Amino acid sequence: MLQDYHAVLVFLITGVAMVCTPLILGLLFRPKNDYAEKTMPYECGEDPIGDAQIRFDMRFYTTALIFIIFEVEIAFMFPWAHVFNSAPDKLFALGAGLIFIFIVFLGLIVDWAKGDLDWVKTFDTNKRRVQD
Amino acid sequence: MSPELLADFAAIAPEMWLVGAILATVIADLFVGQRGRYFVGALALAGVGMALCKLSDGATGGSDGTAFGMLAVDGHAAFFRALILAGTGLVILHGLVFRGMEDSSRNEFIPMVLGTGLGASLLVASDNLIMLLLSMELLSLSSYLLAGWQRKERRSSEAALKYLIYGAVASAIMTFGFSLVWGLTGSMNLSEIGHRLALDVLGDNAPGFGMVMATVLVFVGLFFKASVFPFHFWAPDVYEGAPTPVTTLLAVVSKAAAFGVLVRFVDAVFLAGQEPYELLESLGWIVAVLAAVTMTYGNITAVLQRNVKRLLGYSSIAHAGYLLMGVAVMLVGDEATADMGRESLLFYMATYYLATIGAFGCAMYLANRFGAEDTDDYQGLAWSAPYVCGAMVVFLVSLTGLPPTVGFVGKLYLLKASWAGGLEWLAVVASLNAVVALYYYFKVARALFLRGEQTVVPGTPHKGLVPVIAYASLFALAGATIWYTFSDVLIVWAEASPL
Repeated sequence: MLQDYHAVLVFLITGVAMVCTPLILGLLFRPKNDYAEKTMPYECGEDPIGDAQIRFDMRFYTTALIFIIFEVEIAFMFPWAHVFNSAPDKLFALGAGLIFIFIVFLGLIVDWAKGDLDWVKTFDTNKRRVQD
Repeated sequence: MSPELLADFAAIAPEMWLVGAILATVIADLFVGQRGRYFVGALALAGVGMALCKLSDGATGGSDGTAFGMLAVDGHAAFFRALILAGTGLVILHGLVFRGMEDSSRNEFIPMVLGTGLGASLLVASDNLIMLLLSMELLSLSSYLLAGWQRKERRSSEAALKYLIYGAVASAIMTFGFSLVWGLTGSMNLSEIGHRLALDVLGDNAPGFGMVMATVLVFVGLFFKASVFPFHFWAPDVYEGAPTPVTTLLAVVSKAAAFGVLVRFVDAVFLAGQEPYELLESLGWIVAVLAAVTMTYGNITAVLQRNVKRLLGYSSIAHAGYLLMGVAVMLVGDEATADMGRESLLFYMATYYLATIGAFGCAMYLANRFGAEDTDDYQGLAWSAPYVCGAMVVFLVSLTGLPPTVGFVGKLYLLKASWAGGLEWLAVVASLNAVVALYYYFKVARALFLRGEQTVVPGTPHKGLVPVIAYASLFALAGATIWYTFSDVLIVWAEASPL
C-alpha cells in the first residue's frame, strides 16, 4: 500500500532539492562584497531614519481592520456585478447585494458611533481628552 | 424569487431570524445604549424564539432535500438546531444577569452569542465541506472573542488567547484533512463522497491508508471542538477563565454542534454503503479507544479540581467521551446498532444539555451572590440559598447518571447501544467511570449541604424581574431533569430525528 505513495516521496525529495541547490550554488559562486549602503534596508530610495523595531500606534490597527473589511466587500461585489445582467431575477439580485452592503455598512456605523474612528480618543472613565 | 429559492430560504428560516436578531440588536444598541440592555436582550430572545417557532415548521428545502445544495435540513439537523437555539437563548438570559461583566459590554455580548448560535446551527446542517468549514469558523471566531470578554480579567484574556491558538491549529489541520478528502474522492459534498467510497468498496477497491489519514485529520478539528482527548488541553483553562455564560455556551452549544456534524460526517461518508469494510473497523477502534481514554482522563482529573467551573470543565471532557461511544458504535456496529448508537448519542446530548446549562447556571448564581468559585467557598451555602443549591444537586445527580434523573436514562441507552454494537468492554469502562464521577460530583454537593456552618449569609442578592426570570429558568431545567416522563419525550424525539 505504501508503495502507491512513492510519487509523493519523489516529489518531497525534488522539492527539498529545488530549494537547497540554488542556495548552495549561490553560496559557492557569488562574490562577497558587502558595504554599509548595500546592506541598508531599501525604503523607496530614502535613507532610513531610526530603528525599524518601533511600537506602532494601536489606532492604525483599528483603521487597518476597517479597511480590510471594505476591501473584502469590494472583492465580493465584483463577481456579483459581473453576473448581475444574467441573473434570472434582477430585483432579487439587487436586494441581496444591497442587504450585503447594508450589513457591512452597519459595521462602519457601529465603529463610528462607538468612537473607533476618532483619532483623539475619549475615555469614558473620567471623560478626559487624552492628547498624544 | 423562484419557488425553488423560496423553498431554500424557508428551510433556513430559523437562521434568517437569527441574522435578523443580530442586526436588530446591533442597531438597537446604537440607540438605547447600556441603559436599554434588557431591551436589547428581549429583542435577541424574541429572535431566538421566532427561530424556534420557524424550526417547528420542518421545512427541508428544495427538491433535492437540501437548502442551496449546501445544507441538509433534516430531522437530525432539526434536533440539534433546537438544542442549539434553546442553549443560545438561555446563555443570553444568563448573560444579562452575570455580574462579572461590565454593563457597557453587555449589548455587544448579545449579538456575539447570537453569532455563535448561528454558526452552530448552520454547522449541524452542513452537507458540504466548504459550508462545514465556513460555519465552523463563524462558530469559532465568535467564541474566541467571547472567551476574552472580561477585558480587565487576566484569566479571561488567557482563556481567549489559548483558545484562539489551539483553535487556529486545529482548524488548519481540519482544513488540510478536507483537502485530502476532496483529493481522494473528487467531491465536496458529504453524501456524494459517501457514495463514491461505497462504489469503490463494491468495486473491490476499498479506501485505504490515505482515507484513514484524511479522516483522522478531519476528526482532529471536530474532536477539538468537542474537547476529546488528546485535543482537550484548552478546555479546562478556557472553561475556568471565560465568563460563566460563555462557559455554558462552549460546554453545550459548541459541543452539540461538534457532535452534530461529527455524526453527520460519519453517517454520510462512511455508512452510505451496504457492507462494512476494513477502514470502518480501524476507524471505529480509534474512536472507541479515544472515547474510553477521554472519559477516564476527564473523570480522574476532575477529582483533583477545586474550582467548580474547572471541575465542570473536566466533567464536560468526560461527557465528550460518553458521547463518543455513540459514534464508535456507529462505525463498528451493523445497520441496526448504528441507528441505536446515533439515537442514544442524540438522547444523551439532550440530557447532558439540561444538566450542564443548569449546573453552570447555579454556579453563576452562587458566584454572583456569594462570590463563591471554589468548593471551599461553597461550604454551607445550602443554608443561605437552599433552592438553588437543591437544583444544583439535581443537575449533579443527572451528570453522574443516577436515577431519578434523565441522565440515568441517557447513560442506560448509551450502554445498551454500546453492548449491542459489540463494544462490551467500552460499556464496562463507562460504568466504572460513573463511579469515579459520583465521587467528585458528590464533593460539590457535600460542600454545599454537609460542610461549613449552618448560618445564613445574605450575600448580595439580585433584585428585579430579569434576574427572577433568569433564575426561574434554572428551576424549570431542574424540573425537566428530574421529571421521568420528560425523558420519554426526549427519546421519542431522538428516534424521530433521522438523517
